[in-house]
Amino acid sequence: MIATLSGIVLASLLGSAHCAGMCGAIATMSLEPARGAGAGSRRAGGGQRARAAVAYHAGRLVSYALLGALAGVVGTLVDMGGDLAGVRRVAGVLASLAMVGCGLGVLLVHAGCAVRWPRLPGVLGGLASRAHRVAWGLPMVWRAGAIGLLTALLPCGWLYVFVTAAAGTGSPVGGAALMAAFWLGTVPALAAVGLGARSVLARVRLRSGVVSAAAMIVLGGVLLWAGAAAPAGAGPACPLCDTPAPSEPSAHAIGSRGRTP
Amino acid sequence: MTAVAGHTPAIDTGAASAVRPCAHCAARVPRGMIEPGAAEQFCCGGCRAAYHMIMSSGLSACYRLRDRFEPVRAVASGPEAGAADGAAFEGFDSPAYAQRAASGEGDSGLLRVEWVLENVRCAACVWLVERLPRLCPGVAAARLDLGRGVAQVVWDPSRVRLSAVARALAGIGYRPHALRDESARRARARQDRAAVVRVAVAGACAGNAMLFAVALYAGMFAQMEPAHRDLFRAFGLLVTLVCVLWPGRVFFAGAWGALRARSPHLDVPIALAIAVGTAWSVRSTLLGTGEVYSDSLSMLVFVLLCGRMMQRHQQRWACDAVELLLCLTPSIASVVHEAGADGSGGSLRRTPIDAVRAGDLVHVEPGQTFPADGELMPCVGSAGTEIDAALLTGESRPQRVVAGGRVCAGTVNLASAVRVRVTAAGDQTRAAGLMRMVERASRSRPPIVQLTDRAAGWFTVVMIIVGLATLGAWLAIDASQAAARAVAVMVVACPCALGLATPMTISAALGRAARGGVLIKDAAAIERLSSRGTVYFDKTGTLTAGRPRVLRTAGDRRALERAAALDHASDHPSARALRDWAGDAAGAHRVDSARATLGAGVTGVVGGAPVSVGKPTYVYAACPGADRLRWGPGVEAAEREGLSVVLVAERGRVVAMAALGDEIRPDARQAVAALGAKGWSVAILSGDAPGPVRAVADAVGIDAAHSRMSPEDKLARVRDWRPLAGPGQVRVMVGDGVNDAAALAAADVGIAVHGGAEASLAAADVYLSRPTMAGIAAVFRGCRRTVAAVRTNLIVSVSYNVLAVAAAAVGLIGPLGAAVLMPISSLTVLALALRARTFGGPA
Repeated sequence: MIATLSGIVLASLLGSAHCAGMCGAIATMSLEPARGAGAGSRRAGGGQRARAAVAYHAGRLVSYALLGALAGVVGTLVDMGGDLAGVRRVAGVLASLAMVGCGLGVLLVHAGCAVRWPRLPGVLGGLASRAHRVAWGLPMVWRAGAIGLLTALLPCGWLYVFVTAAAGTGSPVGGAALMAAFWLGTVPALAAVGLGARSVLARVRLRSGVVSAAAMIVLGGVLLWAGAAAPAGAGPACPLCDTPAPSEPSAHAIGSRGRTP
Repeated sequence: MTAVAGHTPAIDTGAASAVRPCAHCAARVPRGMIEPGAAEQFCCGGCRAAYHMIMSSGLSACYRLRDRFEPVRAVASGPEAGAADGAAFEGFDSPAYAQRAASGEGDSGLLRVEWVLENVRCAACVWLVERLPRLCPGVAAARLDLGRGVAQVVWDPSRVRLSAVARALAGIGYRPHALRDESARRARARQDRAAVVRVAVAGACAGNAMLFAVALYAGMFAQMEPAHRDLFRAFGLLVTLVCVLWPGRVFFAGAWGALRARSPHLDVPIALAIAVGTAWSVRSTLLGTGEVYSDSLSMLVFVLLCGRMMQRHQQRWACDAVELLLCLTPSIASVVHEAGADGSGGSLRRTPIDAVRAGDLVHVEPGQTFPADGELMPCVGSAGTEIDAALLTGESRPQRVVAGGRVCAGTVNLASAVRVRVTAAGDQTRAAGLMRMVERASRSRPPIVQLTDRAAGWFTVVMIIVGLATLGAWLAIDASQAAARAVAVMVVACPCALGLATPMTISAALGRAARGGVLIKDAAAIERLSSRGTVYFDKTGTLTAGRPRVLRTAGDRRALERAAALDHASDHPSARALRDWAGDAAGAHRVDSARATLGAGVTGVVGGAPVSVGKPTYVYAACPGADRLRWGPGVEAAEREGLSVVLVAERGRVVAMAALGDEIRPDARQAVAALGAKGWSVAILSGDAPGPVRAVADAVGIDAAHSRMSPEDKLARVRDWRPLAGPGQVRVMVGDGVNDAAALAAADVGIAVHGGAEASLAAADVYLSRPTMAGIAAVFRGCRRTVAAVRTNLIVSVSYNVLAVAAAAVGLIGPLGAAVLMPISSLTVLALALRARTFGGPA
């Protein structure tokens, strides 16, 4: 479990230059004093800014974890269907393959090929726009928290790669944990954006597309291999720590897909 | 769009510099994504979507901001962050605010100010806020009016700054705002909105938690897989945690404030209950064993918040019920728009009284009450009108007002439609000043209310102890039940009903009384008038009608009618009495000439015959040959009774006699008897001669009658009064608000029946705008009923609480049942308080 999560943190950290680009603009603005506050806006103290930053990241954590848990539920359902069909750990395999595919697609784009990406439904975009407009009317700290919460609505491919991975865990708790690890990896870069280290990141970001594509492929491969390496016939493994679940439900059963033999 | 393109940063994009960087994230656009000719380029579909989302949200500024290279300043230290909060209260220290809002508290050097507080929820808040003197040295007293959320703070300016007091209040969770301040209204609106949001969120959480719970229960029968069971439990818990931490936060905030003030508060047991339930649920979910209260907990928060919102609404409503100014002035005025210079013409527009301003022109039809103070315009009723100004002046006869004359809000237009240029509206009017006096009564705290407030505070402490004891006992008996039992006890024990019962009953009674024309300045008077003691009545105008009437006549009736016609021009009380007696008959006679001798009589010619009418001495002087022997005994007998005599002489002969007296009010005897039956001893204090006083005393059934008393004598009599039978007795003075002011003020309760409300309430505690004896008896009855209603409500709420706590402790009521029962009890008490037939009911 620790190994998987560490891998996620590392991958997220490597690709986080992308996050700085994707969310940096909004993050910076959400830490600014209220719109229309005029010249007096400079008065917003550093303390309030720090609180806003904490709120923003906390908001992101909550929304990522919820998204991960949701993906985990989807994964669970997929796994249940697979179980009925007699196939083990369908979700994990599918997710891993999707990640590898995404990575390859990004590389193709960088090589100059036009790739048709699946698009998010327009309704979601409209909803996100409206939610942002509402959030912008809130007082500073609340606004930052709300913007953080809305991050999950941003149509970010990098984010959805990890959401896919979360679905692959086949457990809501595992999915949430995976997304929390992803969040951890993004914090440094986004915090740096907020603190004005943009110029440094801009240089990193130039190559970020290729780096993140590579990270996707590697991560997908690792997860696929880890799933396949699970001892066959020894019962289902805990998605978090890859140890076979005990046959008796116990305190540890929290994340187990405990189908007792 | 081109403008935005201009904001894209000039980043060195190396070899690909021919293509713009990604419009959203500024990364290099991969070759596969380049769109030839497009104004914006994107590195990926995500960035494109995000860009359009941001632009459509109107947030293009964030790109400008991103591109501004500006490091954030260092994190400020704590005190600076706190300074923003403190700055909000600095305004309270300004001399201008002190001058405007603070009033002196006697000559003690203390000052008093009123603030609207945020977060005032329930009776226990009263207790907490009134701890202010303990928390903040230099504060002498703090009183909170629960219904309006207005606190009255008395402080010593030499020892503490007002901003420090405000900060202390904010520290325990009640942020103060200046009264009549826009911010107070905004704060209230914000709170209302927040309350609705909280209820909505809690409702959504409760609904979802319910769904999971239903799934779990269903799964219990259908052999649900443990994994699924855990999943549902985890979701249920998640939703519950959201519910407890977001909408449920108010309870924890309230409890925290109470703990900081080290005084019990209603929120403490509730917060404790929620915390215990949540902790238990988390534990059960993690261990996978035991009961999970997810659904009950979020439902609990939801129901509690709903109850609280209902209570708030009802309290406000009760508050409006004593919105006394509305009792006197209309709520809608007809404002004239685009009128001519003399006030004529224009169009009428019905306007809420709040929106009427000085300078407006209002139109008042006969029979309507003037909505504001103002000057009569010369236009419509150029001849002026007549008004009934009894409320302010005590003069019940119509008064003539001509153009340019002043009229006051609360007086009634009697004769013709007029237009009034408003000089003072709303709380600037004389009537409003009067009502402020009464309003202060509803805010003052009679001893009985103070007692129940204290009791509610202690009740809370006891209930926390009982709750903890329940927890302990059930842990020993059946640990799985312990949390639910303790939660139920602490929720159901809310002393809301207890704390609300008394003040609400009294406020409602004051409102009812005001609507019935009884203005009560001091709420403590209600309690006193419900006991027993001595009632002193002034005679003239109280027991009697206050002006002479023809009580009996002798001789030629037609001659008296002719005399009444002759008296037509005189304004003497006797003349008026004679005219009233004769009625229309007087108008049938033609008066040829009349000559009046001031204060004595009139001589003239009526229908061709010479007539004299007046006091006996005047008539005898006018007709030297009159037959004194014939009329002498009758005149003497009447004068012995205290009646004044009018003789009529025609053609040199006395032909008729009328005996005039102050008529005893027809309901006086009954009212005095009613008071006696309730244990009051009744006495008369009068400045009149012994004869008439004795006559009145006998007529209404009073034994003790003191005559020839000057105002000083009356004062001494009232002041030196000693209770006849033991302590707890009170002395009540009923009399003229002006002439008997000293005695009214010296009595435990002064009831003014004359002299205008404004002047009377300066000395008296109670003012009757309709001075009938039945009305006076009704005041006593109303006070008795009010106190009885207070007792009933106290008994209901205490026994409810005791029974409910007992039931909850043994497990008859679950946490959810408790949450439903708690607001029901408060609402029951509120309903009882508002519906109690205190004033204005049948005898």
